[in-house]
Amino acid sequence: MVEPRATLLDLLRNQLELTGAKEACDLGACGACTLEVGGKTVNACMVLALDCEGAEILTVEGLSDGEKLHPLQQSFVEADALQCGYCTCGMLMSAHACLAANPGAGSREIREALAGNLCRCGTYPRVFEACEKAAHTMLRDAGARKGGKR
Amino acid sequence: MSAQEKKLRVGSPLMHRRIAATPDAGDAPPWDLDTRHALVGKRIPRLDALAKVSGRARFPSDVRPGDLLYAAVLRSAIPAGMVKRIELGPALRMPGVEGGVLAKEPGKKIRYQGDELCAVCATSRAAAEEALRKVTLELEPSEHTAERAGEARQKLPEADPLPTSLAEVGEAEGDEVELTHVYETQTQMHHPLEPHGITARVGADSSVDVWASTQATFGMRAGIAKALEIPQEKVRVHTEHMGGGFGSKLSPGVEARLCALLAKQTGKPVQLFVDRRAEALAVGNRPASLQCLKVKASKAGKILEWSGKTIGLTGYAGSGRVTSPVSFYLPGKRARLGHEDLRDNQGSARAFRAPGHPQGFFAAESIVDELAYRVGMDPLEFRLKNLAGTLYTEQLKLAAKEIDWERHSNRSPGRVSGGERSLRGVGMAITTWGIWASRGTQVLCRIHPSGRVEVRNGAQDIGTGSRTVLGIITAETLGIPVERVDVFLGDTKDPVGPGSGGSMTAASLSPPARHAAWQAGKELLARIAEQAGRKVEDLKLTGGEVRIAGGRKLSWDRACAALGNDPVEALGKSLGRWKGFATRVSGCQLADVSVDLDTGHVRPNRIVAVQDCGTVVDMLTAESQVIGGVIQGIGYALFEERTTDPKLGRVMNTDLEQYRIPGSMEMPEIVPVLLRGNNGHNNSGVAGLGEPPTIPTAGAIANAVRNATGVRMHRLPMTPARVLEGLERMKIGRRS
Repeated sequence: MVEPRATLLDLLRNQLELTGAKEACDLGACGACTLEVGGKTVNACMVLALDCEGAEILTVEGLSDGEKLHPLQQSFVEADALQCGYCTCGMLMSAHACLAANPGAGSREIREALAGNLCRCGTYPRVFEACEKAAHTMLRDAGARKGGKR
Repeated sequence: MSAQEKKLRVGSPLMHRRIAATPDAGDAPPWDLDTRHALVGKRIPRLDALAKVSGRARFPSDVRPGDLLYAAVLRSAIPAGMVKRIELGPALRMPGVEGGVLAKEPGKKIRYQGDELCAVCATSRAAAEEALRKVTLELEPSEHTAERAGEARQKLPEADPLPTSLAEVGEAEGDEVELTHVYETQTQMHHPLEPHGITARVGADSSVDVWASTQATFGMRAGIAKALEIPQEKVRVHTEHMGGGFGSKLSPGVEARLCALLAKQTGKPVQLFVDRRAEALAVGNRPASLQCLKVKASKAGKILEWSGKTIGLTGYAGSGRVTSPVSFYLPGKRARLGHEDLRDNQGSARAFRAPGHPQGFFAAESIVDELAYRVGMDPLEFRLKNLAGTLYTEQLKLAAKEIDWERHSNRSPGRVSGGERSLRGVGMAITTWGIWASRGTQVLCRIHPSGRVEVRNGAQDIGTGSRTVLGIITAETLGIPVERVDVFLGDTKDPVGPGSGGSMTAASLSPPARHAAWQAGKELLARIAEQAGRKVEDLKLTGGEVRIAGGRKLSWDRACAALGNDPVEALGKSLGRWKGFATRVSGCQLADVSVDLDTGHVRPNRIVAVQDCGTVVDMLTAESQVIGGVIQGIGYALFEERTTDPKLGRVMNTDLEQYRIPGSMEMPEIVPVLLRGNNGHNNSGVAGLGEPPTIPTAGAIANAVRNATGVRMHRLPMTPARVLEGLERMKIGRRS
């Protein structure tokens, strides 16, 4: 049962035990609970669970393909785009939505997409580096797939 | 076995010397600057990165044991007074509520807004929060002292009048220049993204499991044991991951005690994580300071005298002491320094990444910088002259080269020749930090027949990469890939480790980790020698293989398989403690900034951070530490400030929208320059790194603003309004 006052974040963390999305400010100010509802990013602490009935929700737990990491996750690991890791899943989701909407996103677009994600350890430069690298990989892979079909 | 003296070359590539060291019997041979490492110093992704990017890492606030209850805390809305009446009865009768405890009995004092009054737990946090509204509460307010900056200013000597033109801040006349400046720094909040709190479960045998977001698992264990009046060995603290602390999570807070009491009372697991508002009010801060410095230099550019009085505004408790680099600028002479702390009715000071240093270094580096301009010297040259003979001169030269000081330093601060809307300048500041390690730390190393190596210590990785440091030191010592090592941290059932404060964790864990791996490797060889009927001296562990005299080789896997059913294990201790190269690390930062003359915005373009930290175990994560330190320094320099209503004594910016920490749009290019050194104190030569890189950033940015505009900033943060005030006073830019 979902209580009418439960947020999407409450539902995921407390009932479904999907704890990748974090609760850090509970006010939509930090982005640690960012996830995608119908392909658009939301702060899950600001959305009522019942309003999402029937919607497709993507959390960080769904980013990887089984054991195979998403290119963004892979580049976060390689570039050390995390320290304590509490903001990381939110960063990944904002970056994912940004690159899904705009595969050619450059440094400026990536920074803007991450403007709602706060990190107190100070990983931003590493995060930008990881996102740019992943964007490159994803474009290349998409190109390869297209080329393969031809 | 007699101890053998070894000659070691220690220090950093910029400055080094030879020392003689006598390793303890059984310790691993010490590394030094000439050691060629296979892994140490390379760029190795952190070992827990996969868990953290997949969402699988379970933080203490993610733990969900069955029947979990959620707790919430009622806090005082007034900054000073007394509890007249507090009754939980009505709250306990609310639906879903299963327990409640008082934090303050009637008659107890209220010390600050946010002071804990009571806590309840319920089947959901919403139910717990709703129940708190039903607590019968009467508070008797009393007069508060929440804002004492004005009073503090009256206690300081009078400063030089603020200049009103560029002419007043150029080269001065006479043989000596003396400046008296007052600098003010703000209260900065820690705001780790994971709030303070724990999840606690009391078992049937009264043993307690605690999942704690802490920087000190063993300190937490002691705190919970005390709260529940049980022996420490009955408490087991788990901190596999935790979401940041920056000094604010070194001791178990009231929230941990209340949670443990609720778990005991209800017999069910209870989770208590405070909300963001409480993070702002109740779990510590870097205290504000006021600093009056009086410094004299000769026109030849030598600092002659230094005195000062500083005041810390600490809140209801804690230390507001400031630390300055005066001993580097006036070697062998005594500076006359006085300090006083003023208590007030606000949240208390707590350790915050390099306690006392960012505030002290901002003031000291500002006045040193100003003296350079007033004696008519280049600020770099002035520092090189006054820091002669120290590692700083080499580091400053390196950083100056990296930022291209010759080309980018503005030679005529504040001069607006045409219609410029912004001015650009470069500023610098130095940093230092002591090298400390805990002597009691022990590390367990176990080599399994499967070929995997298990390493255990009970301390925590707070995001600094301690887990990865242990993995790399172990793998390097055994000559195997780091992927073969499984590191377990954050369980107090494992050997004792340090609290993560004072930049101690890597320096404390590395020597026993190397000792443990060395001993375990030797034991592995002894077992194989015995089976092969050879002498152990005939066997060598190198390059991931066991080589037996006469040419036979065993792969790591085959060697380990020979262990049969019995893994080998060794407990490493903290040995060594030689004099080494230095007792402190040093570093410096140069900041290139632009100042918008119309809006007063300061925008850092590029910051170069040169830092030594002894042996760099992992270049990738070490650089991340430096970058993170600089970013917190940028927040301190430009954005962050707790504001309190002086009449009501209430904090006005308790959320992350009103209290601004740096975000993605404010990031300059940050260039970390780590020096591959070795401090020579023990078998691994590692020194701490967490704190020093956040110390000089604010001073470097303030000095860059001065280099750009001629305006000396006396107060942090350097907000647009404060910068504009300076520009207008000095009549610089189009608004004037």
